[in-house]
Amino acid sequence: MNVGIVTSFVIGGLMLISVLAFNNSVMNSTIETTTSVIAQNKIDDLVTVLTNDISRLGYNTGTADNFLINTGTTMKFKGDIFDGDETKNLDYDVVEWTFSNTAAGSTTNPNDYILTRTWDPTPNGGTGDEEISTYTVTHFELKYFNGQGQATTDPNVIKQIEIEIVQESGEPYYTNRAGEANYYRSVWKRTIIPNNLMF
Amino acid sequence: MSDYTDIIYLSAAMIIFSMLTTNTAKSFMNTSDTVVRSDIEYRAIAIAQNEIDQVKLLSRDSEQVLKSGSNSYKYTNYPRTIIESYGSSDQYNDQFTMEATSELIKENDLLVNRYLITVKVINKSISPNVEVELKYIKAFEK
Repeated sequence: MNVGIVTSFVIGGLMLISVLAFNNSVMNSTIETTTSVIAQNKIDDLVTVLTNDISRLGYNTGTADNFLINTGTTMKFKGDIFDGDETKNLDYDVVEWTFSNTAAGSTTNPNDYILTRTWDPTPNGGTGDEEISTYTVTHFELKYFNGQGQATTDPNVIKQIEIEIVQESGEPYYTNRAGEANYYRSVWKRTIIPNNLMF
Repeated sequence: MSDYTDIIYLSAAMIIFSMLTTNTAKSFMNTSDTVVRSDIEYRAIAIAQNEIDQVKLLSRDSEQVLKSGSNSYKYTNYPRTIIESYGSSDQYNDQFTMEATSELIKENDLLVNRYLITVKVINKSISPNVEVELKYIKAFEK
């Protein structure tokens, strides 16, 4: 037996194992980074739309009863959501955010549920022009408070809205040998005081 | 192995390879750290914005609340600890420390008093700490 060849095989084998382990490590890190960034971008996009809607709540409606529905999972309200789409002076819109217990089928994450935004630009007129957007989130919760910070369900005294969103990545970044999948989780929780409900 | 030259070449290759793997691992660690920090910052900014919103809600007869030294000064007991709970059954939580100050801006305005509100939110769950600072100017008619 040639000692030189055997030694070369042993060292070569160790190097090969190192390269494979390194490749595996790089791949796992890449998957984790990618899924986490996607999850963060998803929640960031959702928060951008949601905060725009909330900040317009009650704006240019000409009325004080701006809430149509206010529950822990659904919020429907009046507000002029976008400037420049008016056809008359008080052309407000109606927006509804609803978190359903329907599992999202578009991701492999079993914790994902559907959050729907329905925007009706002409609530007093045309029909069939609603725009519906759906998002997949793990948790969405709404709480309402009056000016003193006390929880309330009375739409006439709501001044503050607490919104909590938990977003998990649609795909796992790591699955162990037992088949348990780990998902990247991102959270946002904020109490917003819409300017038009302030006084 | 024919001579020691091969061993030297092999050792050099292994050193270079180990340096490559170490640097790559460090790079990925930094990326993961940045992702985690940005997530914490995102939550910390929301908490700071909540505090600023509370200042926005103050009515025009509440100026004393922002006047440093007054009995009703809003930030007497600051810094304070905030424990935020998240999730459907509040199964996750995160701890923040909030510092806040209010300072009367000295200016020769006969009509308006302006206060500079500075809110700093700190999260110590990662090293170095994550800190965000927001500033807001609240005006009261004299």
